Amino acid sequence: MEADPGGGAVMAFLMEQGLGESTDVLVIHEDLCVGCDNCEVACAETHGGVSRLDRAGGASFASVHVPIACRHCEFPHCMKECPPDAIHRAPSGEVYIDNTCIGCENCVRNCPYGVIKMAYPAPKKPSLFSWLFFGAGSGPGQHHDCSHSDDKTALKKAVKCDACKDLAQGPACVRACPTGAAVRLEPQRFADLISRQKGGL
Amino acid sequence: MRVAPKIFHQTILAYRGFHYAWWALGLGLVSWLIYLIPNYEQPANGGTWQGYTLGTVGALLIVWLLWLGIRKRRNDGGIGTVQGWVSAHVYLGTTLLWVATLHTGFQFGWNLHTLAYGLMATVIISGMLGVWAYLVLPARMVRQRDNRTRDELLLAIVEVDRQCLRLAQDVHPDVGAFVQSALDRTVLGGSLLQQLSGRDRSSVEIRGGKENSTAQRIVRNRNQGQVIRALAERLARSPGGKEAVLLQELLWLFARRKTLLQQVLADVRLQGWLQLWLLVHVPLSLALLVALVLHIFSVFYYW
Amino acid sequence: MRCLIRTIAAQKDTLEYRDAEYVVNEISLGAASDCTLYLEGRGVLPRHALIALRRDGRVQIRADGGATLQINNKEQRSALLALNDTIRIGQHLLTVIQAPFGFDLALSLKTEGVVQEEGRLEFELGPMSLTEAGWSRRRWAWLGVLLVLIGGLILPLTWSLWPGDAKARPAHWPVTDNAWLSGPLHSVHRIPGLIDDCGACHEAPFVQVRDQACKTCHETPDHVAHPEKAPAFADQTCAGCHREHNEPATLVRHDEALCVDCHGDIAQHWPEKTELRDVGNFAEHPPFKLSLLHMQGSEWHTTRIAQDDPALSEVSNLKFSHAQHLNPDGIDGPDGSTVMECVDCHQPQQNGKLMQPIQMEQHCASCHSLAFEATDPERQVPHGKPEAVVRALEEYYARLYAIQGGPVESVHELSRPAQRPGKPPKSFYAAMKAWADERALEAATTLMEESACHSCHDVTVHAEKSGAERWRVLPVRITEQWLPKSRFDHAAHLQIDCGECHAAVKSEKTTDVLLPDLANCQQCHGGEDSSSQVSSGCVGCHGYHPAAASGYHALFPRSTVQKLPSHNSALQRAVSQQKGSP
Repeated sequence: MEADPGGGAVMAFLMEQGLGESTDVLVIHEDLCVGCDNCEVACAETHGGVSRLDRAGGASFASVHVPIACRHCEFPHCMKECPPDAIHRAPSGEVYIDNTCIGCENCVRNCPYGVIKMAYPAPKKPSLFSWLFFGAGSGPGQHHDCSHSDDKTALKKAVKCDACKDLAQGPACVRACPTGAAVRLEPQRFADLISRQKGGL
Repeated sequence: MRVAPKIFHQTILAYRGFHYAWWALGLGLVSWLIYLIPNYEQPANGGTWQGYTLGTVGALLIVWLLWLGIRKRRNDGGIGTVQGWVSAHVYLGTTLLWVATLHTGFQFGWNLHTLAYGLMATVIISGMLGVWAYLVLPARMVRQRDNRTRDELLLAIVEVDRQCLRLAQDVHPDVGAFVQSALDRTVLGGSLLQQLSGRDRSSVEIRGGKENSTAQRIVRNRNQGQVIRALAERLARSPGGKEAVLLQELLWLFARRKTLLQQVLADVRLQGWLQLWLLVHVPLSLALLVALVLHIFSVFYYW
Repeated sequence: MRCLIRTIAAQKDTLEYRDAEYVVNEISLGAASDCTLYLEGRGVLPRHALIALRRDGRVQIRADGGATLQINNKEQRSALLALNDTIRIGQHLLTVIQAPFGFDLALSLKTEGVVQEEGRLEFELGPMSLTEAGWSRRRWAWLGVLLVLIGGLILPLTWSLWPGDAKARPAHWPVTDNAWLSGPLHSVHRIPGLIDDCGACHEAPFVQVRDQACKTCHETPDHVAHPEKAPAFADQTCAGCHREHNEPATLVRHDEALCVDCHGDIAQHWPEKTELRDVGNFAEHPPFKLSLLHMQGSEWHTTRIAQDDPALSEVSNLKFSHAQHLNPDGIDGPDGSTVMECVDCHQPQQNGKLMQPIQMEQHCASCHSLAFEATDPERQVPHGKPEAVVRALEEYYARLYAIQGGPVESVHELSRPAQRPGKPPKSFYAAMKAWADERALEAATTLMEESACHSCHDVTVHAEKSGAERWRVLPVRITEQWLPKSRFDHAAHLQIDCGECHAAVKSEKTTDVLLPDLANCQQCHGGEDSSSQVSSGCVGCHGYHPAAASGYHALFPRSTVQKLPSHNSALQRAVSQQKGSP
């Protein structure tokens, strides 16, 4: 039950996903993705144990999958109505939430794509080797329930993808994908994406 | 904003224009030339100067190949991208088979050294199967699921089941009980072999041959065949009217159910094959590491 | 058909309405961009459904292709729509609402999140992944690691370090240090004491096999008599050349490089040895060096002399002409003219390698008689020193005189004259001695200076001396082993005629050295890598370890020397252990 829609249909799909207003969006090629979730693991490990990416969620069309992650919109909807003005755009273009967030959830409601979630800080993890050899503690990026916390003083804050603006080598999700399925694109590159999809791997 | 690379969405084999394939070929060629240099003292074996050289190269390769397990979990820092590491891992891992075979001088026996070689060869071949799996299976999986996730398929089954029960009760309580047993006895998932076979092991409880008989037996309901056949028979015997319409709906629903179940089973099967090779590749590579250390130890223990 | 579509976008607390008007024949719904109503997300096919106005004014919705529609919570393929009917396509819910005036149809469209409700299956899901089925990579890795550690280290090491000697080890052990074998032992080493005890040769861990381990059984002279004087051999060990545990099993090196690495350039490796000439392979071999026996003073010495040296000549002190003896027309012998062959005098040794030494009594005496008396041709002098010859002659003639009672002319005429009773007068014995001595000297002179002795020996006449001292005969020693530093095997060359290598037929002088020279051998033998000639490496003729000169060991000049069992304590112990004696 699969048509080959042609480039125009894929572009229309991308536009309908709201990627027309994005500046930096994570796109996954479904023919390459093996579902290892290393992208989510990498996101969590570089962001205090809380993943800001939902790989499986999101829409797909003709082997193009757009997971649920911030697209760093040109006119960020999340920035409106943030009481402590915690959401900024970095000089290099990434939209990020700083630690003055008070947890009011305005941004969560305003985002039309559902990429922001509320999370408690994750507990500390044991070293990589003790997990590798003995399975002690939760492994890298292993999902834990960040909807509640044992620490009574912890605050639930809004978290979202910040395109790894503080990492020297760039977005962790792309670097961590072992099969090369994950790539971050700006709208100017969508034509490349479509021609690669059409031309096959 | 960091600009995306000029080329993206390449397979691990085609990464950077088969960059690491050339490295692997070069290493293989150099190893072969080293092997070909004549050595008059003794026949080719791991103890000639060529043997020591190739053995050192092989051992360093093994350690580096194993390091992928650490590198892929290192998200802050690390050289290059994980895909680059995997591409190099695949090509240089293949060359390792060649280098290590030259190192043995083709001398094999029932001993620790050949055990290490055998473990290594099994690891490498399982890795080749993994490359095949990673290149071929994801597309197959996505297509056979109609682009839905497995959870969505399961939810669709929930919905279909609810309707089946309602309709079956409307026809007759017996039919309702029959359909209920078919739903209760649906089987998805199982042991490793059951997952990999992808066969429907569902069953259904049949009350005798006649409607009044109280004898019960469990029969196989593979691909909902038993239920569909029973419903079709009942439809054929049906006087028509409302019951016929309901039965027809029920038949269509069970056909739908069969398709959904097959999709889930196929998804579980393909995912099993996608991950099975790792069950061999990872444990044996660690056993290989230990065998390698012991191989070096025993060679110098009885030098 | 005129249709109103009202899209309801629901956020958490707010609702947003957007109305759109369509005037079309058919409303297509689906994920393709050319559909009238574009519905995205999972479960929506590019062309999912069609809504059309029937002629009777009713509105019908039809699923396209393999699509599924949920109409009023029932999976259907088509339906006629009425007010408040709900149509679910993927995540989208369409509800038929009251159409405003002028419209044929109005639908509200609500798009929900992925998981719209909690659904529970009627049946339990089994394990749906390998991990859920209990397969853990970590667990199997630990199992593999432990198995390899136990079988590859713990068990063999325990066996190897078992206290006591090899006999104390347990009879049945799951994995001995045989697991560490990198190849089988050469079959010659598969003897008790070696095959069951790696420590017999590998005496200390992490140390290469030392010479003393090999010398427990092998008593081998080194390549040079005093290795400490030759820097080239300073670091040599047995294990440097002899490697065990290989397949194919090769304990002994046969290649040229073993020798040519040094002998190809002696000046570089041992400059003091100026007498050695460089050797490439057999095609580039220097002329052979022979060991020549010659007399110096009254002793025999051996000198090494190159075969191409013009001063080379045999100085055995024998007079012999091969040409004369091998005359194709025959040589006069006791049975008339005899054509002689090489084999008449030269017979190979039992082992076929060299020729048996020439003995006068065995090879020459059948023709060269030492008779001295024409009338008594059977009688010969002993083949010995002049003193013995003269003494024998004197005794012979004295006896004749004693029998005859006076001078004898001919043996045949011996007759005993009548004897006067009583002892013979004193003058009888003096006359006997005088006659016997005279006749003996006569015969000896003939022998020594004219006939038998003279024809083969170098006899010097000292006329001023008397008796046996008149003649001095130089002792004869024929060189038997010209090439002691190599091994020549006649048996391998028996198919070749003697004359092809030894130019005996033309040799008239004794001083001719009839040993074939290098060029003669090179007619057939080439270097080790020759493909057109007999491949001949160094080891084929020379040995690395020189053979001992005499006794038991000389019987096996080719092999490295084994100690006799009584000397070999290790082997003796192993043999006695096998027999069960303490």
